[in-house]
Amino acid sequence: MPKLGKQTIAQTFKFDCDRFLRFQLSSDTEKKTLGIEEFALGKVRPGVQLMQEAGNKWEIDKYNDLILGFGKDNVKYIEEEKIDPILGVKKFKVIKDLKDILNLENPPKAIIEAEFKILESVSIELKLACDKFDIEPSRAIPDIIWIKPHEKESPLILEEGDLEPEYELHIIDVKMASEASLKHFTEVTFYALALDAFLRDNNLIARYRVSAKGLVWPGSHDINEFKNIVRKFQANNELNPVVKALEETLIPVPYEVYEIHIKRFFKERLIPVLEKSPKDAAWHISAKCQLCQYLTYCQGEAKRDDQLCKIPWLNSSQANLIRSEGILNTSDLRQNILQNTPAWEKIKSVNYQLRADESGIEARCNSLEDGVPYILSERVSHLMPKWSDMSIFLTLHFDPGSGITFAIGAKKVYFKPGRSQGEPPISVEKIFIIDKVEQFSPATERNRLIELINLLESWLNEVNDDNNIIAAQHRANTGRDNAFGKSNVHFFFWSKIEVKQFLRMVERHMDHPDVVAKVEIITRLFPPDNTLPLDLDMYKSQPGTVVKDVVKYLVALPISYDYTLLETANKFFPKSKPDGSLFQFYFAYGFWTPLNDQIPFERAYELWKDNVFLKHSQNLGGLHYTRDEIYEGLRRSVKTYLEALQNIVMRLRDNCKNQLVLHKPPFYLGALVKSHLPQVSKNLLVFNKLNILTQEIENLHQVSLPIDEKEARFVAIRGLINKSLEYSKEIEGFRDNNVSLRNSTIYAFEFSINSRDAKLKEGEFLCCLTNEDFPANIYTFWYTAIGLKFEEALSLLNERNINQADRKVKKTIAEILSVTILKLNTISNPPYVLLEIPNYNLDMFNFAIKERIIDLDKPMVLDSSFKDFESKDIEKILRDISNKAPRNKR
Amino acid sequence: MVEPAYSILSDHCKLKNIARDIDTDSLLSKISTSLKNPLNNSQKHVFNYSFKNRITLLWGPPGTGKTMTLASIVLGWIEYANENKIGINIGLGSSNWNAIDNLLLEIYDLICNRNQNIIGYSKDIIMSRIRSKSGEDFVHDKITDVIVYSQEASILKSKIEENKLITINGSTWKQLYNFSKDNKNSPANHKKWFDVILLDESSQIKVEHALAYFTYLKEDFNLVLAGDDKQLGPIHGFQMQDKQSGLFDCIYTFMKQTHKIEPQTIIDNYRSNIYINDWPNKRFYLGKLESKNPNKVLNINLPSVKPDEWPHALLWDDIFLKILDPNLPIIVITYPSSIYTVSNIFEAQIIASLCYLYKLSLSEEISSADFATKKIGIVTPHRAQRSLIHNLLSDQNITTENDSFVDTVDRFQGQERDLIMSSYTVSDKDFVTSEDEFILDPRRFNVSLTRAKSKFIMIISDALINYLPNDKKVAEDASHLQMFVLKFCKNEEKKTINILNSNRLESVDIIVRYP
Repeated sequence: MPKLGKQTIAQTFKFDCDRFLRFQLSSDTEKKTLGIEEFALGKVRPGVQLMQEAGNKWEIDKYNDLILGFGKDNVKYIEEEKIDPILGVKKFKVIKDLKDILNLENPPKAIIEAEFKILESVSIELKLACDKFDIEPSRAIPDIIWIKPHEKESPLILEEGDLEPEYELHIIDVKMASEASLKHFTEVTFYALALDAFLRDNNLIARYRVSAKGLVWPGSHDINEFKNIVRKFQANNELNPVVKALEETLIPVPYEVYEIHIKRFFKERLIPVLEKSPKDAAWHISAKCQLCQYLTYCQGEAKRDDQLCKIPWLNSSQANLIRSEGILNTSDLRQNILQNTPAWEKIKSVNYQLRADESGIEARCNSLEDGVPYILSERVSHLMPKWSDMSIFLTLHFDPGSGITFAIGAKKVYFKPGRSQGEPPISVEKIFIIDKVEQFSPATERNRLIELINLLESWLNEVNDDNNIIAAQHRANTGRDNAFGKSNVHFFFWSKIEVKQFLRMVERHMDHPDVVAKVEIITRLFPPDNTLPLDLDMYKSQPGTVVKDVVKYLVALPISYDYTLLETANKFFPKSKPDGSLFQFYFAYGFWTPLNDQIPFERAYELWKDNVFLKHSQNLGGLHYTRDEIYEGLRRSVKTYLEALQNIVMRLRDNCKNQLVLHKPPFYLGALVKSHLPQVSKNLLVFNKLNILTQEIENLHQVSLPIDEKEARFVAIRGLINKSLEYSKEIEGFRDNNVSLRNSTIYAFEFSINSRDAKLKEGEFLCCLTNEDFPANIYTFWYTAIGLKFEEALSLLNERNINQADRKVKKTIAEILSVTILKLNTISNPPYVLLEIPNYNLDMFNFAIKERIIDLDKPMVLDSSFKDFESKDIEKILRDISNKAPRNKR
Repeated sequence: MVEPAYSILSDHCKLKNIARDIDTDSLLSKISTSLKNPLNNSQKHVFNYSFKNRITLLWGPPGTGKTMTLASIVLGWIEYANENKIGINIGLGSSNWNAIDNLLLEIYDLICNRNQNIIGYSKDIIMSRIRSKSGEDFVHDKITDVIVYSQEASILKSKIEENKLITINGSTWKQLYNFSKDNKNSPANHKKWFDVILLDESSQIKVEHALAYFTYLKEDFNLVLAGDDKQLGPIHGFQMQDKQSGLFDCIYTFMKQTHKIEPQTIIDNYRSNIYINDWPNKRFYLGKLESKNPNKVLNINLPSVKPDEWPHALLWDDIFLKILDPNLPIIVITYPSSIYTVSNIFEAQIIASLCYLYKLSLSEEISSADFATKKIGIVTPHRAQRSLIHNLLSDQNITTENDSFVDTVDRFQGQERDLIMSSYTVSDKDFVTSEDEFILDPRRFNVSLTRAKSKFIMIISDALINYLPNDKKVAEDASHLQMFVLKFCKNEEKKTINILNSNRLESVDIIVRYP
């Protein structure tokens, strides 16, 4: 009989999949018919079930810590007689007489692995489901039940009329992961709910109630951590050092947060899912399915039936919407898009994301069906340059449980100035592995982070120094510096998750003085405008690219579900080998999992725990890897990631060269600023700068996005059409009501109804108006954007009698096409906007119209631009406040 | 080093206690005739506390009269200066101009009352609003619109420095900083200008921005930081999970957590009835928030059946009569759906019908402008939904010039309405994932709910109610909204209603929930 237990419930939440639930609760006959008995997770990802053994070992260690702390007589447990050969310790047996133990006059302080029946009274629907569908609840075995005398304010699971109990029972779930996840929280909550029902059914509620604060005992990489905390409290003469240590160690699970979802699971999900046949339960393959045991099964079905979920990034809600219009597979969808059928029209009218990415979806359908890559040649990307003199490739791999990074790869490829023709670029690669158990702690990660930043700093300094030498030569030869011969630098990550992890590392360690000092290199990548060299064509450009975003936008590949780095490298016009076969990247077994760009974390645990489970294939003898082999495997995998990433960048440059339109100026590293501020001021200063930089990078990224995506992400208004004549009354009315606008130049534009949700507001004065087909980044100088040289631009301005031409020649597109939003009416149909051209910029705006930098008769886009108005002032304020030691009393 | 800003940042305990001989009870009785309403006990306590302590954290939950309390404190200082025949400079700040202007205007009203009720002050009072040249005009008879670097700015600075008059100066940190410069290119001077600084909405002010204000404090300063950390906070580009005891959050939490300054709470909620007050009181305000208008109900005469003049274009269902029933101050409508993202025709149609029925049922004649600014607020997270609702309403001639009664929650902060309707719009669970922190933010929900005086109606999809984020913090945040719907509003009534979708009639099973 199929059993419904905590794992099934927790994983249903994790995968958010009805089919998973239905498969888990299928009868043996159903399983046989479906052919899913063989899909055990251990077979799919062997390291994971071996990780569970490591988890069991961790649990046993914690049980022993608790027994030692409370004393043998105060904990109820049964140890096996013999040592387990795999774990090397004695396992614990399940305690069957929980009711009797709780009926003791003096109950113990804790019970380890006590079993009780999950009563159907947990929920009416559970009982109904059991009766109707021939399933039964598993028996519950919480790791620890902690029995505490009830404290008055302590939250309990109570029903109306319940009295205060003598004891409160806390469910403790011991986990090896150092950060508890959704799965752990739902498991603890489910057990709390079940234990509550058990107490009620066994007339134990007069003495006991379940605490509404479940607990997770998280992993730590110091096996003695708990013992040390107990000792600390003992040294402080705490009355209850073990209780104090538990309170410090355990992560509380807010029962009320998860209870509503567990109850809704029983009330609204369980029976409707069971009523369906296993084949009919809803499913959709996505990145969430990475660890699902049925992934291979579902992939097979998706392929066979040409399911919509094959289309990368089409989510389940979108697929449901498409299916609701009678479009059931990829091929159907392709036809509907091609013919723009009424069904597809309706779908687009409901879901703006599908509307925005219509051409991309069509190309992905085509590529899947035809089995070849397609370039979306009508698109351009401002996210990546077609060339960079120094390319820096970065990859980071981390344990999702603890968030700790275990492998980092960095590679530079530098076409150094002055190299001979045909000379290969300088290529340097460095791989950092966090490998030692005793060193595994945030401190070790911090050390690796500092090493990484040091390495990057040395690479950046190299380019900066080379450029300074060239600048000196320019000045010696012509009296003026210029960009010729200088190098630019660009960073490449494959996915956003790696960028996030890099930022997480910075954040995690930012309060450490060594890291704060090092973070300055990041801020030096964005020197303030007024410190940029004036005699050089210098402007700010985004420092790096998430390559996957560019691939997603410019290329459709014959890959289902998601573009992983490996598959992309292998499917995106792979190079041929001399023998005619295609060059393919691969990872060794155990160093890769489907739908995932991260090296499996279990490999890292094997290093940290010095306990390797991965085996070589039978062809190679089937022996366990050695620790050194795991270490080497990680290094090789990181190296492969870097090579595959570099390869994809090269393929993009080969195949989409003219579509990569990000301009990069020569690299310039801002000056190093020494500071002697107190730590609190230093932290605040760095935080403020990082805030500004984040906004600036975000803005650079946003203005570089394809126009459809700008609209879909609400970051710009598109489709602006000049309607100033039609709105002349509106404009005049506005002038009449605002004295300071009497003499202003105001334009009215109608715009796309799909841009109504753009996050632009009335009163915003940092906005830039350009034509939708404007080819350059708005932060480039206006003259380079139209192909002029500095001197030519200066002459042109003088010719046009522009005042202060020598100053205005240095303006960017964002500056000369700067406008202020006076009125934004997103309610009228079509929506419209009134824009003011600031008086100080009017001559350059009109100049831009004359020189066809902007054509007001063609569709336009309104972007937010960015200017840092505060970091310089904040820095001065903090320095002024804190630059000397304080007097005692003020 | 700039003191006392340094000590406020590093350790406020280093600030010596200043023993001012101020009889605050007497001061309070003198100003009380000028106040619009007498201060309640908690407001009186804060008033007294602020004169006796150098730093006051004023915790002002919604509807508790925070701005009025701040204005009364300013009036107290003016009275004190007037009695002692000394000059006093008062600085007012916030994260936004709306809050600064509201405070300036409230103070101005109280001064007018004072001058009418008693006699004029012996000293001149100069009220100024200091802004940049490009900032919006501020037109007022008595509050001077001062532009930095102008001649007027120089005159004001010299008056502040003379310290013989009573000056009240409102500005943002940035413009105050610029105001202290001689010209655009000269360095800022951290002058010891202000005897008292009051920062409103300080739970939205970043620590570094507040420090800019503090550099203009005199050594024997008094500082009042008013805020509510249960409402919307500042927006940081670089999100630190560890806020380091408020250092990377806002000045309010920094002073509370780092310097352990105990917030002084004003607890009487004059805005909302007891039912609307109940949930925020339990969840956010530790049971301290008390409704002072517990029985406030929506003043409408609902018809008993569908009105004859009901427009064809709007939906009708008898359930609307129940939803708008004044005796049910809180109503939540949930429904199953998985397709809507930024606009939702189902919610828009219900909102538009309820809005029309409400207007039709009002007991009093009311102008469109008053209807929009006093009677109703429709909160929605996305402009596309705002537009959809607007279009449905404008077809029934329910519009006003600026349509500000249908807007995002951020625009409603600081406002109140008899009826608030909240259209959560999103029902595509994958879209929810992309904006879960935004849409499920408990502070946004708290602001929506606490704008309502008499009735709150929410329409929300099951997708949002069932959404369980992976992240514990987001899950905890989301639970405030989810528990409000599922546990607080525990009474349920199931109903099927018909809506028009692309000219097709569709049935939707809704659940009407109420506490």
